[in-house]
Amino acid sequence: MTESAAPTGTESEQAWLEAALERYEGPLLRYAASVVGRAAAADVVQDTFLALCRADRDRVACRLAPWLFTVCRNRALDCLREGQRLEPLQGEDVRSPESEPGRSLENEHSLLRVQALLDSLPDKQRQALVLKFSGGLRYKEIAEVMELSVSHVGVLLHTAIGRLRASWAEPAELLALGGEP
Amino acid sequence: MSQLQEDPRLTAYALGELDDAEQREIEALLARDARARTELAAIVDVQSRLERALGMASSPALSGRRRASLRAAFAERAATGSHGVASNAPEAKPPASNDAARNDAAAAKRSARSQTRGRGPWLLLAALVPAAAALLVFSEDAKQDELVVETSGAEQHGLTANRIDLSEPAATRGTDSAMQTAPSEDGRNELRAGQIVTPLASRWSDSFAELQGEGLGALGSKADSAGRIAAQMAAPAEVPGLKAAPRARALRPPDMLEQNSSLGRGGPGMQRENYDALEDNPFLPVSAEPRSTFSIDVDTAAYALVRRFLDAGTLPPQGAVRIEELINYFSYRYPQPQGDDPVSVVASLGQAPWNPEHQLVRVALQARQVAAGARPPANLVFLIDVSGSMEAANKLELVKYGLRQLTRSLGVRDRVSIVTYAGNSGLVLAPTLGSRRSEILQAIERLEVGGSTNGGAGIQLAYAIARQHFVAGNVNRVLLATDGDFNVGVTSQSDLVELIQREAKTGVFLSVLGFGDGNYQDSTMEKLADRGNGNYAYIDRPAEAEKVLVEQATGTLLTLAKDVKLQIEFNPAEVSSFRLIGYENRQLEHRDFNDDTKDAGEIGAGHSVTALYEVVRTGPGAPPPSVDPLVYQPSAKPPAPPPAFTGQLLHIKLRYQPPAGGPSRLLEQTLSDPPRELDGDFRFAAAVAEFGMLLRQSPHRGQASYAQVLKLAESSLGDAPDRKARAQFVELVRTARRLATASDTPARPRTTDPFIQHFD
Repeated sequence: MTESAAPTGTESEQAWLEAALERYEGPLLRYAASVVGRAAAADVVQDTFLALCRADRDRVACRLAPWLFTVCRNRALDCLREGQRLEPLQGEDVRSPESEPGRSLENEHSLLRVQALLDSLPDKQRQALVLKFSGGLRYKEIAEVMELSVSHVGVLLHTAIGRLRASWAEPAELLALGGEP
Repeated sequence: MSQLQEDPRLTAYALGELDDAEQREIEALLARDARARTELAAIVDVQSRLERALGMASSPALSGRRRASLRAAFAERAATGSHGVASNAPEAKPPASNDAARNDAAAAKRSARSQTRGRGPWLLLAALVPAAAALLVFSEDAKQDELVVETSGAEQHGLTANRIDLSEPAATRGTDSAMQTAPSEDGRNELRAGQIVTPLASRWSDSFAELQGEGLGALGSKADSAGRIAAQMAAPAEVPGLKAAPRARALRPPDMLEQNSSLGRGGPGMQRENYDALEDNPFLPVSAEPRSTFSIDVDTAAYALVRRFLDAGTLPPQGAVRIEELINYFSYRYPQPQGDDPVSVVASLGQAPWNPEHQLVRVALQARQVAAGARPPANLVFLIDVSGSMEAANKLELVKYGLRQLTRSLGVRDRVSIVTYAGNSGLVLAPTLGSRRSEILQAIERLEVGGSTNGGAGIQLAYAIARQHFVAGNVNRVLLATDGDFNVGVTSQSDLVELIQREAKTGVFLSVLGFGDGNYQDSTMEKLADRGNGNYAYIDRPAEAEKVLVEQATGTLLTLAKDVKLQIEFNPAEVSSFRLIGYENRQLEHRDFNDDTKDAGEIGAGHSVTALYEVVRTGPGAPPPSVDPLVYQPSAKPPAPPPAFTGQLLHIKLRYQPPAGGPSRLLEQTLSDPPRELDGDFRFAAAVAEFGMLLRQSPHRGQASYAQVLKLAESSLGDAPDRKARAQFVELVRTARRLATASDTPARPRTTDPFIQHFD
């Protein structure tokens, strides 16, 4: 995972945008889904990248990740307010990695299980986890995006990890019954 | 321990989010508390599952249709080349905090760092835990080199349960020092990358290397990944000292650290060494700032440190080059004090070799020589760091060598005690008279490495013993021998400094003797000596141990004056601007000069202290003042001084207190024209200063060159009292010149913003 750092002067505008898409498309989708649900996530993420298109690169480039997640979050919250919680379009808008070939059954199983566990967490804990582990953001950046204090972020992540830890100790079958949304 | 489970700092520690002080606290906790380690292992386990589940490898993606439309938008943006292109897409709010004023480069550095930062030594261990189910077992006394890792979860990994003892076989002891001192051709190698931030971690990495060598299958590959973490930890970016966020750092300016780069200066095995960043003193216009006030500095550590770097084939980091310590390492023939005062001060004037338009003022202090036999009896407490990190030929063994030499020169009325500090601090030798030499020597032989470092408890014990045998008027001194890597107990540097400062008030002086490389903590050491009424020497070789503990023992042990301060006032009629060379971290407020409660440096018997000023004389050639004239005081020109002062460049005031305390005494001196030819000692001091300016890449180095340094130094060998040391200096200059021309790369970037660290 290489962070998309400040671009060099020679890099073209387009290449920079493409790189941002490659790097953050997945994490943003996950994050948007953690806020607004999987159905509307693709819309939110597309809007986020369109916003990046219009942004002042000089201002954004040095703090690309927190900027993207902040825009994504604002957009997702707008969607929630507008009641745009749509039903998922089966496999059309988002390619789920679980369906890709080459994935072992075991892996797929554990990924599904993580997803189920994540869904069982309170909203803020889930969002913070996604920002941390999918987005690779620092506590301070997470705090900025979620408009919380840094220490609050620390507590959220600590609590979430503690809960996941307890859940993992339980047999998988029980979880599969109750966990899937 | 439910309290432990509620503490979010363990999670933050695992994610590398703690600041310096917190990190050390947690590491101390982990070192002593097995439950905390189990807790950390569980947290790391969850985190690694999350990383696998949410990381890039398993990321979802937008549909092809959406991606295509985004790409079209990107292309359009690139074609128009402007922002704010009209678009029908829903307006997205800009981020709430767009303090984009932040420096791009700094942000890029931070983000480059963020991926791998924060791997403490305990994580290395926690990362060993297989994701499924594993248990870490520490032997109860938690000795770092008796780490036992027990893995279970055989059903997941196709392994039978393994119990692997990672304790280091005796045969491999000392190998890490061999690794550290074996530079490869391109100055970097695999082994070095594996040398880790802390001594205990480095011990482990050796064990990992062994594991791999023995091809222990799945566990070998675990060790491999741990080794990678170790390598990441060794990179300067994750050094705990750099953890503090820039903002936190701004609140704690004394903690400014300069990290030498593993690829640039600093060289093999020195990635974790800390040096305070120092900016050269600037030229000050006499019209605005006629005075210069500073504390003396008799430390010599910087010279030995610079020598160690150059001998190892790398240029030293800028912060390690404290020019005043380089100059004061050598002996000069300054006039012995007359009368009652134990110190004298004289000034002289000459040309600045590196800038023909500038002159050089030398302010020379000399403390009275005291013959070894005339020294009052000494009450010496040696406080020896025997933690794991001290295990190397150039550490504990060198300490023992130095102690043996010192023992041979002790008088029969001197008293020696030895305290060790590690996991448990202990009294190795109760106060013993110098006449009982064999007992002392036996105690020295018994010293061996074991445990982690608890600087605080050991220091308290040492001072307590020194106080017990305190005799006013005698030498009462604690001598601390360490690599400065305190990792247990009173671990925050400020706590330690505070403790020392408190103890120093009791009249017991401190000597700090620095040893070793790889994780050497220069900044801690210097601060301890500074606050503890002490002196600070770095001992890199047996000869240096002899110099500090035998040849100059009287100077090291016997303090003649304390809180020695200098205040120089320049005459604006003669000097237009001046710059003090070195003493950057010894500057005092002008008002503190007469304030006897303000701490300053100590001077020992026979010590000489040299301060050089580079001055610009008043006259047609003087540069225009860099400060704008005042609006409300248009006649900013200083009134001409009375004719009686014509030709006087400066007035020197020196204050000192007797070693036992009491009101300070004042000495005064003036310096007048004309400049004279530099005498041998002056030439040599100028050469050393010029050498330091070259190493520091000082912006004021003018026409300085290694060739000129050599010419000056070689011409001043003559009948110098320390001809051998000066000849060695000449060799060192040659080495530096070779390295400087060979590398030819722009050397390590200068720290221009003290709050932004450079790594590249």
